[in-house]
Amino acid sequence: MNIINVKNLKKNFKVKTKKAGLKGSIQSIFNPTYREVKAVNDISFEVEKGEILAFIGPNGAGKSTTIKMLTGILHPTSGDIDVIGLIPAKNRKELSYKIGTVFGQKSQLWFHLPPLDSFHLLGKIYELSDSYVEKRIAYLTELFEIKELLEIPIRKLSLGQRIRCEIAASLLHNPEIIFLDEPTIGLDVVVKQKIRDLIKKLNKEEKSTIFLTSHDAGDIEQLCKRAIIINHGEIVLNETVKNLKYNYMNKKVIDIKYNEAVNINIPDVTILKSKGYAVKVEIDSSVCDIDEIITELIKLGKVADITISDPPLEEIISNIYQQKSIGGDRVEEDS
Amino acid sequence: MKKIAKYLHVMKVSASNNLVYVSNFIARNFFFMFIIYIMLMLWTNIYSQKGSTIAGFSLNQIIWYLIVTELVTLSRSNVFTEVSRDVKNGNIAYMLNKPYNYIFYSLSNSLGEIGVKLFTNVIIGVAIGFLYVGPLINFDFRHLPFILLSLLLGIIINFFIHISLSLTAFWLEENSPFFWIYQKLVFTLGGMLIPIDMFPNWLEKIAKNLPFAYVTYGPARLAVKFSYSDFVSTVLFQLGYLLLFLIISLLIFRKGVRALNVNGG
Amino acid sequence: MLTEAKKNIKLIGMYFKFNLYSSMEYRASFIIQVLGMIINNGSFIFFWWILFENVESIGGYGFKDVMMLWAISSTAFGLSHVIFGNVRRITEIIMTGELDSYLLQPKDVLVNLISSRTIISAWGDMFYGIILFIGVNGLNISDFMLFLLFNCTAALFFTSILVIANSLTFFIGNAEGIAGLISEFMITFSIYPEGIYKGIAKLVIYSVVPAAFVSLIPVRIINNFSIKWLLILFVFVILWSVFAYWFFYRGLKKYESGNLIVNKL
Repeated sequence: MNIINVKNLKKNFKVKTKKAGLKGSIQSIFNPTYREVKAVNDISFEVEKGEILAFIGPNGAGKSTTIKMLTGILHPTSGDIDVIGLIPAKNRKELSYKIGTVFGQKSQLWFHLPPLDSFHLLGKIYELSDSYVEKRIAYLTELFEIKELLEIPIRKLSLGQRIRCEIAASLLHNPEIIFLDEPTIGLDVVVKQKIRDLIKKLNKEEKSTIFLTSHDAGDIEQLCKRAIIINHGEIVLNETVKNLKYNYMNKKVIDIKYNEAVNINIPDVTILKSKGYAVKVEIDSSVCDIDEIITELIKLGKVADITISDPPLEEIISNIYQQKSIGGDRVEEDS
Repeated sequence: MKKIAKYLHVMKVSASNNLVYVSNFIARNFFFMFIIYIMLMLWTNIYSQKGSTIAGFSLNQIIWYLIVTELVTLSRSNVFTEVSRDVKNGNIAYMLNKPYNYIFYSLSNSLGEIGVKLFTNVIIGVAIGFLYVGPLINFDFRHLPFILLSLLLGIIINFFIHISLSLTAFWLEENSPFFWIYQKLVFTLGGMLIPIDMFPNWLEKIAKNLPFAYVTYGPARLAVKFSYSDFVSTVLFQLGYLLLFLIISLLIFRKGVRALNVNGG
Repeated sequence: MLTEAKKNIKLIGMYFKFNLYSSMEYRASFIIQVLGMIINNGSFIFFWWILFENVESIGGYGFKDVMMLWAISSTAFGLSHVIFGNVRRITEIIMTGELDSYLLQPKDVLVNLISSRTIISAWGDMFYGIILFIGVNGLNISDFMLFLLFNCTAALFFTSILVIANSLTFFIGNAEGIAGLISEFMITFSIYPEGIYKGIAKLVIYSVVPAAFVSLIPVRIINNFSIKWLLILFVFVILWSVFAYWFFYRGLKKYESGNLIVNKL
C-alpha cells in the first residue's frame, strides 16, 4: 500500500538577477529582472507504508524543496501530491497531526529550556492528553537513550545529543510518516552511526514510514531498501539499494600510507594519486574482492595508515549518467 | 590621473558594498528626523504660549541644541557591548600580549566608527535644522573649530565612561544595568532632551558640576550660544573629567587583568 | 469560528504560563531587566517635570495627563510584548526559515508564532505603567477598569501594527528597518500631548500610525467619558486586528509559493 503518491510534481522559482557592480545594484532596486529556475522538474514516485526511503542528491538538487512540498510548507507549481490521503498544500493542519518532521539545522525545541519542557509543550500543541504524553516520553527516552539529557537546557547539549532529542520530539504524537531532512549532517562518524541505528530501530518498533534526505552515500547503504537519487530537480535513479550498490556504488577508494616506497601493480586496481609514500587507489567491488586486494596491498610494504571510503556522491551521480548514456549493460536484479 | 582613478574606484566599490547597509543608514536618519520633528512640534506649542525666549533660548536655538545632543548620542560607538563581550568570552586574553594598550586600541577603533557615523549624521542634522527652523541665529563660522573641539572631547569622555563601565564584566556576569543607568543619567542630568538652564536653580548648579553635562549639554550649548569664557570653562571641565575617567578606566583594566590571571580566565 | 477563537485563546494562555514559568528559571536576570526598564521609563518623568516647571500646560495637557498617556502606552506596550513576544521577531523568523516549524504545527500560524515567546523586560513596562497610573490618578475603581480596558485595546493596536509592518517582509524582503521605525513612531506619537500635533502629523496618528487610539483618545475618555469615542475606538481596534491577520496570511501565501525563499540565496 502506498502512503505517499507523487505525480508529475514541478516547482519553479523566480530568482532576482543582478548584474555586477554598483550600476547593477542600483538597477536591481529600480528595475529588477527575474529568471525562472526549475527547482523540481516533473518528478513522480511512490512510497510504501513502512518503508525507509532515502532521497539523495547533492546540495541544491531539489531535496529540500520536495520535502517542503510533501509536508505542505511549499505549494507545488503543478502536479499532484497525496500523503496519507491528504493534499499537503490544502490540508496542512490535518496532515501535521499525522507526520513528524526534523529539519537537521533547524530546531523545534526551546533553546534555553531542557527537552522535557519542550516535550510537554509540544504535547499541548498536538492536543495530547497528559497521561499519553507521559507514556510517550517514557517510551521515547528509553528508545533514544536520552534519560540523562531530559533536564539539561538544549543549548548545553552537543549536536548529536540535540538531534536525538529533536527526533524524539517529532515522534511525540506518534506520526505515521517521519520526514528527516539531513539528519546526519555535521555529525562525526560515531554519532552518525548511532543516529542511523536509531532510525532503523524506529522503523522496526514503531512501524513508521521514514522519508529521509541526505547527501551522504553511507546513509543509503545502511538504512534503506530503496533510494531515489535526484539531481538538478530531476530523478536520476529510483532503485533498490541492492541494485544501486551493485551497479553504481561498486567503487571503493583506498588511501594507504606506506613507510617505504612501493610499486603497485595489481590487476583491477586503478591508481588515482600517488605522492611520496601515500597512494590513493580505486577498486571495483563488483569485479574483485576487497578483502583480497587489501591483503595484496598490505603485503607490498609496511603500512602506516589505511582508510577505505566511498567516492563522493557527485562522483556516483556522474557515474550513473555515464552508465546510462552507454546503456544496456546493467545487471538486473536476479530475484 | 591614474592615482585619482584608483581612489575613485575604491570609493565606487565601497559604495556598492554599502548599498547593503543603506536601509540601516536610512532607518537611523529617519529616526533622527522624526524625533527632532516631534521636539519641534512640542516646543512650537510651548513657545506659542510662553513668548520668544525660555531660559535664554529661542525656538531656533533649542532645536539646534537638540540636534547637537542627538548627534552625540546617535554617533556613539558600540564599545560597551563589544568590550563586555570580549571580557566575558575570554577573547581579551589574546589581546593582552599584543604590542598595544587595550584601552587606546579600543579608543582608536571606536573613533573610526564614530567618525563615519558623525560625518553622515552631521550632514543630515544640518539639513534637518535648515528644513525645520532655518539657519542657526547668531552663528559665527569662526567659532566652529572651538565647538568641534568641545564636541570631540564630549565624545571621548563618553567613550571612557562607557569602557570603564564595560570593564566591570571582569567581575559581573550581567553588567548592562550600568549602561542603562548611565544612559539615563546623560538623558536627564546631561541635558539631552532639555537644556540644563531650564532646571530649577539648585538642580542646575548640581548638574553643571557633574560629568554627564559635559558629554552632551556642554558642546550643544556652545554650539548655539557661544562665548569665549563659556568655552574656556567648558573645556576645562571636559579636560578634567577626561583625565579622571581615563585614569579610572586604566585602573579598572589593570585590576581586571590581575583578577583574570588569578582566576585563570 | 467560535471554537477556533477559543482554541487560540487557550493556546495563548498555555504559552503565557509556559513562558512565565521559564522566565522564572532565570530570576536574577528577570529582576534586573524589569527594574532596568522601570528606571528607563522613569527617566521621562524627569523630563516632563522640568518642562512643567517652565510652563503650566502643553497643548491643553497638564503633568498628570501626560503621565496618564505614559501609563497607558507603557502598560499596553508591555502587555503586547509579554503575551506576543515574538511579534518583533516576525521578520527574522521569516528570513531564517524558522517559520517552517510553525507551519508544521497544527495551530493557527500567526497566533502560534507571535505568542510562543515573551520579552522579559516588557514586564517592566507593564509594572511601570500600572504603578504610574495609580500614582497620578489614585485608586478609583471605575477609572482603573477603564484603564485596564484601554490597555487591552492599545496592546491590540501595537500588536497589529507590528504584525503588519513585519509582514511587509513577505513582499519586499527584509523589513526590519521599516518595522523598527514604525514601532518607534507608534510609541513616540502615543506619549506626547495631542495638542502639539498639527496638520499631517494629526492625520497620521488617526490613520496609518494609529497612535491616537493607543493613548490619546483613552485619556480623553477617562477625563471626559464619551460613549461615542468608545465605540469608535472599538470599531478601529477590530478593523486593525482583522486587517493585520488578513495581511499576514496574504503574505504567507507568497511564502508558500516559495519565491521569497530563493530571493535571498
